[in-house]
Amino acid sequence: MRLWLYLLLLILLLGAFTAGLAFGSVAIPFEQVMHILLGGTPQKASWANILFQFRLPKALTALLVGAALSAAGLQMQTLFRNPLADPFVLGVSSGASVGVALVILGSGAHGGLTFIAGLSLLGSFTLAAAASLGASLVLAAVLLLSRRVQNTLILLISGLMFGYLANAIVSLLIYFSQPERVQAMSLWTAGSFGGVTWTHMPVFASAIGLGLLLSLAMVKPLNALLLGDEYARSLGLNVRRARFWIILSASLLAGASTAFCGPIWFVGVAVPHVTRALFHTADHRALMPAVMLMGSTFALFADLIAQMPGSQRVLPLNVVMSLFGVPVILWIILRQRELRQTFAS
Amino acid sequence: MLTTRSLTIGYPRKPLAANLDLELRAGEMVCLLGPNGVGKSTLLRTLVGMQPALGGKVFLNGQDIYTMPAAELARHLAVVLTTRLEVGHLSVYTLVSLGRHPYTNWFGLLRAYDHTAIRRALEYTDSFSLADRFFHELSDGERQRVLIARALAQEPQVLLLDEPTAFLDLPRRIETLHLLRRLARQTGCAVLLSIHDLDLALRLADRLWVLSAEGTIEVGIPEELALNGALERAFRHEGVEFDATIGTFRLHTPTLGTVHLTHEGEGVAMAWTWRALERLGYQVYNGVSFSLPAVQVLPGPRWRVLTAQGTHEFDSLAGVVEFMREGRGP
Repeated sequence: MRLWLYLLLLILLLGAFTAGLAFGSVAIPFEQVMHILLGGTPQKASWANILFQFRLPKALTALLVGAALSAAGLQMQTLFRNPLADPFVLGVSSGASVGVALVILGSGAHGGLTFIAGLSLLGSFTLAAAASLGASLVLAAVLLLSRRVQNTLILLISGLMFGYLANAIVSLLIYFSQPERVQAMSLWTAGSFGGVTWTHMPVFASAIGLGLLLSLAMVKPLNALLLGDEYARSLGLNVRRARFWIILSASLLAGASTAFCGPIWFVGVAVPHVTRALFHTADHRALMPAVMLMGSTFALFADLIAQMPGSQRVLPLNVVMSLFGVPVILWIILRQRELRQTFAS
Repeated sequence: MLTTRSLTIGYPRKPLAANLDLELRAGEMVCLLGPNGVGKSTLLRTLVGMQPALGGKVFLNGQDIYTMPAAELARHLAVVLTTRLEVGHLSVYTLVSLGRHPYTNWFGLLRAYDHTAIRRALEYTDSFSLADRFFHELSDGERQRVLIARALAQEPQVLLLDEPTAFLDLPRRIETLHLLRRLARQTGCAVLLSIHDLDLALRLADRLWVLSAEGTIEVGIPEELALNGALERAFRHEGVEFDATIGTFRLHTPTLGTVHLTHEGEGVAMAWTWRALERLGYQVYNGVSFSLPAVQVLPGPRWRVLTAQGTHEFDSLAGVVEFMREGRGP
């Protein structure tokens, strides 16, 4: 039965990926899409361009980010034994947003930057680099802390504190900057899969790929941690070391996603819950791959809706995820009669 | 198997017991007794290396457990903790399979032998029929059996349990202790458990470790420790007295005076009448006496109460209790 679920998810994922390529603001006939992808010459030269330069990297990004945030969320929920934990609890995305705010809001204090120039900054390498730097700094701090403290709860609290601190800095920067720049900042906050171009892709994909591999390697320690720190230790697990690697992998995933796509909420919290409910298990050997498949599918569908195929407008990704995702996920989770028991706490 | 050499346990500012030289033997079930707060859990946690010792060493088959690799230790020593476990959606079989952690590869892949070990652990604990159920659906007694099975899946030589009977009703407690004793006998593993149930420990343990508030430990077979007064000494501070003649705590201090009890009917009626009178606060003596009051258990059973004021007959024990409670006796 579990095998069927995997197959179903895989088919859904393929469908979502294809749909992501087939639909967009420019209507391209489906057989042309297939034709172009298989190396044929397009009816219009611009179609190939749209497909390869825009839709393909975007779909790939959605696929990677969906898997990344879901895997990171699952790890954080298990590590902190908290159903509300998400990939950003450790403050990594807050670090990234400070980096981004410094670039968008802080550069050139005299206001030479126009709104359009602010927009073009989105998806630029400077932005990704600033976000990565911010995320890495927080990550380094958290990792350092994780080696020192015995109690996992302290990590959670310090992550929250990092978050507040980062928020304060960003708010301060917003307070002192021009409206156009604030607009650009809010665009970044809305989240988008469209910012990753082929030039970014190697860095982005390898960071995410490494993080995903690490999280797959962590399934056994994660299972032991289901029993709590003390039982895990009695099973011979070096809890501190396991925690280090779990945090490293989750933060790498969350940090890379945020750096290139903005802070994308919701996936990281919701997908692990839905997957647990569907697969009826807390066993990470089954959950981890399932969560990745589910997360990718969810992100691709969300992006599809955000595109509003056939129209020129694009909705903010975070808005779409919450508006369409919340009802679906509430429905799935509430169908579970023993809601409390689906989660280890 | 597990031995300690001048082990000191406790916290840096509050050492609980010092210079303990203890030994756990294969195939034996040892019960660790002691009043609350003397460090039973601390001792257990120190023995498994969860808490650092303040001094001294713990050896497993002659090897120092504090320098042993954790994974190696986990293959020889398993624990059942007293914390309530919430694991989410996990089937009993999967939960028990987590006990194979020290043996499996990086992914936790279970090989044929692992499945054999899991099945054996489930069979030993009579929980094979629970294998497909979810852990959170189980009753307290079933949970405890499954947790013991999980520990057994580690194939340990030493099994330590922190108050495994704490959340259970009396039949489940007896069942659990029987199970542990059978395990010790059949698998040859050494079992150490902390327990509050003195009565059960006295009847079922192969050996007792009695930890006292002074930080000393008395080791011996249950009967011996009852005879030499070790149990009495250890529990004196609890405000109750250990009665060595009946092997249990004396619960009632006589306040209402004495009463003599005789019987012509069944012994059972006599025994319960005795308890009822004791509960009321009488010091009960057996046998015929001319002093009053006196209670006679007659066939039926019926009761006759003789007091200085006269004789009363009752059809029920409740009637006797009602009458005697009013303090007519002395």
